[in-house]
Amino acid sequence: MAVLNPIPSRLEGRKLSFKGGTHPPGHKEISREQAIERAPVPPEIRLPLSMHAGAPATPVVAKKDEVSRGQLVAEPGGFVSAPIHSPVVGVIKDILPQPHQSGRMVPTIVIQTDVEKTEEALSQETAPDERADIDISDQAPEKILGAVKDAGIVGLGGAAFPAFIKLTPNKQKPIDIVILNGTECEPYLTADHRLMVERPGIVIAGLRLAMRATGAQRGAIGIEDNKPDAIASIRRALRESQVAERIDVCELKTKYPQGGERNLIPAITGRAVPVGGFPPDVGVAIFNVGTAAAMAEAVLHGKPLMERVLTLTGRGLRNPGNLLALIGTPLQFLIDQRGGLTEDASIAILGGPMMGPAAASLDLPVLKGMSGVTVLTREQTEPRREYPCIRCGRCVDTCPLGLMPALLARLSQRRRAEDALRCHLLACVECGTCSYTCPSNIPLVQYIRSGKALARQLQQKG
Amino acid sequence: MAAGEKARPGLFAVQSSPHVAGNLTTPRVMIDVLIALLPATLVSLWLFRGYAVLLLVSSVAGAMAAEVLGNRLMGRKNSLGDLSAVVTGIILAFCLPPRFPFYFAFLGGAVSTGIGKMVFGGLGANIFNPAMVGRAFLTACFGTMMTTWSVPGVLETVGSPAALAYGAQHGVEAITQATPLGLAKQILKSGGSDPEKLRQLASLLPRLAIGNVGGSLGETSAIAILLGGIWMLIRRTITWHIPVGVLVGALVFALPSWLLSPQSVAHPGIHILGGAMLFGAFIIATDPVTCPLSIKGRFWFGVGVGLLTMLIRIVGGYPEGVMYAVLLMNAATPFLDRWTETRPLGLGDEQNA
Repeated sequence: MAVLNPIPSRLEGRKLSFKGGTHPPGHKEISREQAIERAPVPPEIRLPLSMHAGAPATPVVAKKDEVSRGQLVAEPGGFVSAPIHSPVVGVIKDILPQPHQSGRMVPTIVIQTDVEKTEEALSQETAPDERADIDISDQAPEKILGAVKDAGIVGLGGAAFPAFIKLTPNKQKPIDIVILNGTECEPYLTADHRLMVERPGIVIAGLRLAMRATGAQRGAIGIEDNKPDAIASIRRALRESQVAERIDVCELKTKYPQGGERNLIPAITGRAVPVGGFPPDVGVAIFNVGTAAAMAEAVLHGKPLMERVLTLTGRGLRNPGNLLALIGTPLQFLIDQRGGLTEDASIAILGGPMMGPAAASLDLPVLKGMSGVTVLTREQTEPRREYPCIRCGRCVDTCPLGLMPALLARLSQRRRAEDALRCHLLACVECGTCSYTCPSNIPLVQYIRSGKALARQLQQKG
Repeated sequence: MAAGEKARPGLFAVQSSPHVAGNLTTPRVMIDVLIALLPATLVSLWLFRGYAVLLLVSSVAGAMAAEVLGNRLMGRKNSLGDLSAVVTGIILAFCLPPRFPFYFAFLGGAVSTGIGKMVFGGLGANIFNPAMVGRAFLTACFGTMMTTWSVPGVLETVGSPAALAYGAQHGVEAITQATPLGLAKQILKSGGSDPEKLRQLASLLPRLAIGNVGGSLGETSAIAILLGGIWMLIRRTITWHIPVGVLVGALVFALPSWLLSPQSVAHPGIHILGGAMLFGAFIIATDPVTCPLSIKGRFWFGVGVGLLTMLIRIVGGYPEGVMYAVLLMNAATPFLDRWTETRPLGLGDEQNA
């Protein structure tokens, strides 16, 4: 068991940060004042069996089955997996391969929605108790873990990793702090921001439940300083309640990618996650604020994961906003309901512009890990002239993980996978800081990705 | 799509993330270097008048011609737009004596880009600093011409107040004269026992800062070069590591040497402010293509340049030394790169971030 540095006792009252990084314009003003609104119920819901890290889920329903809101329609396909629940009242139309965010066709449960009955069910749902200091003393750790697992909660920040695994105790790696990631460092996205402003209580309740399940003595919520209202909201909720746990609100300097867990964890705890390791190696369990809220709703109110807040934004979109949308809602439906795209819309990104994948079409459903859709215009995505690498070193100086992207890209380009692996190719999280900074406009991340693919091929052969 | 029309299930452009990029481009980086060279250019125009323009233009023209020829031979598109040939041409011109024949300056520019850059495969592929390759070529072929400098103000401006004052002060009408470093070298050779030359040298120190002493086209004014260096630091075109490394390396050698034998070694101030030391520290050694990639590597690269320059000056036979020092350290760069790779966050036993 590693001996870890003690977590600094004074985390409030100063701005935390990390080495490296860059400052892409945030464009948050497009949607940060829009309160979360519930999106309309779509006539069809598409639930891909693969919308979480790990093994795809296996269906437990068949064609023509009637389903109710919250009903289990697919169970976990392995240990690292998650169940899927129907967000609507309806009938199973079919189970077949459908277009997926990954670009592949993925087996998907298609549900024909009974819109009227679904809206009725929604209106009858009681609003959850939003108090930050809600009593959780009767929630045993195993019960918390079981509820989170059965509710199909996965990381809503994008990675969609099954949350219950992070709550599973490991004697070799005890957790002494649970961190909530409220940084939302990607440009354009404001879903987490609005959640913290509008529902700070449930976010804090989720944190307390995670602390209880893991046995952590401390909790922290990291928020970038471009969200002063969110910081104030969380601080007020803690101050005005009787929360007994030690929870710090950590203000961080706004810099991309502060929200990357390998940068957020050192900024708050002073501990670096080992290369090839994970947060529990340094005693940390870390969750997105949206995941925390979902965990609270699952444990305290028995609600499975059926909907999430996502930001529709970008200059290519007519009516930006933060929507509470049902999982499985076709994106096209969501966007059409709000007036569609602009004439010069050119790229639709599932997430933020630094790390989000571009979608070939909007004929895709909202997935559990989808935090937003950013639509950029033709003018914003003009192809830039590429120059040779002049070894200026900006990518090296800004890489938040201390890697050498110019070197990794060059080795990948020359098909030298073994050398690239030796230079820690696999430690790259593809945050995009290097490509963003490169004055020669070299697609460094793309080269690194192809290098990783080559390395994977070699590892499979050998 | 017409305004208000619903989004059709059409297809979008797909590309790899990230989908946004910063505003800095490589040509802009080159422009920042050119802006940094502006003060020294203005000083050279003030001191050496119209011929300075001719030298600059010839050198740049030679560089551009070689680049065009090289691209054609390689079957590549025109790359003059990245402005690296302009930068190389100007840097080379600054290293030339003010009366150097312009047609040889053209040749030097052509060699610097042709052999220093294009044969390696163009921008980014070269091992050696192109301007220094051109300068080495000219030094080898036209050694005497490369080591004969003129004193500013005495040339085409006979009768100007500056020329008269200079002549009166020194009782000298020499049109060509050695540089401060050359003087220093001569003093050393004569065993340190030439009081006249020593006095001349001492009187030159303050003027070294401003630049009206004998020297190459652009390497005379320390202040002009420093202004350019500060501009590049502000714009983050360069970081402080190479310039500081060069000066540290130079001082580490020069200071003890001078303390040990002040009779035969010039004051470190002359070494730092005279010759091409500052120019080398801020402009020449900082060429990103030919120096190490990491910050740590760059610092030690700078230290090597400073040390080697002083070694060549004090122990070797050349009053200059920056050129050879830079070329030698260029050769050492792949080695330095190997030994100064950055350490990934979270490697080893640092759970201390």
